[in-house]
Amino acid sequence: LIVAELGHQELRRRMHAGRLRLRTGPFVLQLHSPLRAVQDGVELHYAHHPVVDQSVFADFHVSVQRPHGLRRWYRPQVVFGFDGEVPFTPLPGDQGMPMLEWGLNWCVSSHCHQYLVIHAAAVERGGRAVILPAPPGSGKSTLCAGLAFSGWRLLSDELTIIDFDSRHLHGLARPVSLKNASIDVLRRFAPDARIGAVVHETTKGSVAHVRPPPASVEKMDEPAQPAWVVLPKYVPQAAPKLEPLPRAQAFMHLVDNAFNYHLHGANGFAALTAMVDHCDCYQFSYGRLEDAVEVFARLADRGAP
Amino acid sequence: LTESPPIARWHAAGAHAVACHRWGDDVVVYVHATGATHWLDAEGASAYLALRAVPEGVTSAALATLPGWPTHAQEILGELEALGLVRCADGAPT
Repeated sequence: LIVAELGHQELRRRMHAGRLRLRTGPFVLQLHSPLRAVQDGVELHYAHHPVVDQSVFADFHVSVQRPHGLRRWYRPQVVFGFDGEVPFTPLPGDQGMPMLEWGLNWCVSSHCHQYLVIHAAAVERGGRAVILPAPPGSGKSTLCAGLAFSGWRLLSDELTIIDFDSRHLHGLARPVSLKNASIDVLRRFAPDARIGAVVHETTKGSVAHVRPPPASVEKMDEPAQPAWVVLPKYVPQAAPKLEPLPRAQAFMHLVDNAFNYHLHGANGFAALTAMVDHCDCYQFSYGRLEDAVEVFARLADRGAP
Repeated sequence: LTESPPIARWHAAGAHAVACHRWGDDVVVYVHATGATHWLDAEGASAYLALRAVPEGVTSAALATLPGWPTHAQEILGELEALGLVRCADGAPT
């Protein structure tokens, strides 16, 4: 059973009652929200994710709802709940769906220490994955979305999940978060992409989420072998440029972008160096998404590093 | 008679204290004591690895005789010491 097969009314009923349990990659989420915007967002963005029976253990019990008190009605807000706690300050009332997505990112990055979790996008093609670690504003999510609609499988636009034993990546296939001008860039690039409501005046500007391609969700249980580490950078008007990067430098970027590397001590060091051993590393600047996608297609066609 | 002052020797932190990975001239290290990860440039890496190859340590005067010891590396010993990779002391190696 997938979310889309539940039907509109049943989805709403389950979300309202806090009994929608679905799986994204290795994690099971229990979602609770009486808010229409959040219910609609989940219906759109998680349409192809498997619904999980209530008897299955849920890793995260999360909710997005109105706060108690005056701000329930006057200039309404939304609060994110996690296992009954409220870890963040409330956001304006129309930001429920972004808050759910940001909250879920936090759930994984702050609690899933059985994995090495890197702040990076990751996509896969032909069994081999490219990891894109980069700070906000570098065009990482835009590039990730463009690749996900150009024959690459979306693993994640935010969280690269590395298995300590196999050194393989786990896919989450969650919605891609686009900001500001990137939203229209992707609309033009991939007219078939399902983009949710644009939410304005968030801390990140205008934000919209893109539904992951169904094929990425269907294959989210297939681990991917990391083959490339690419540091992307969006440079307006720039021609695409892919340049080799020393492995040590790529490794340090991964360390800098890791959420929980510091918790794993020497094991984290060993896992990450072993992974980088098997990757070709590059830095990449681009000004047009179309050019970038071509470069990555050529990269994939070159064969194993 | 006057007693000669002890001669301090430079020692590198060994495998039990520092995990080390090499890609060509580049070396990255993880220092257990601090939990920090560092990327050593070619000169720092050569100096650290040369010193690590002699667990008994060497005096300042003998550093230049170490195989692989880079020119001017003596100047960066202070930086390596601050990172917890080498130390100058009497007695047993770290």
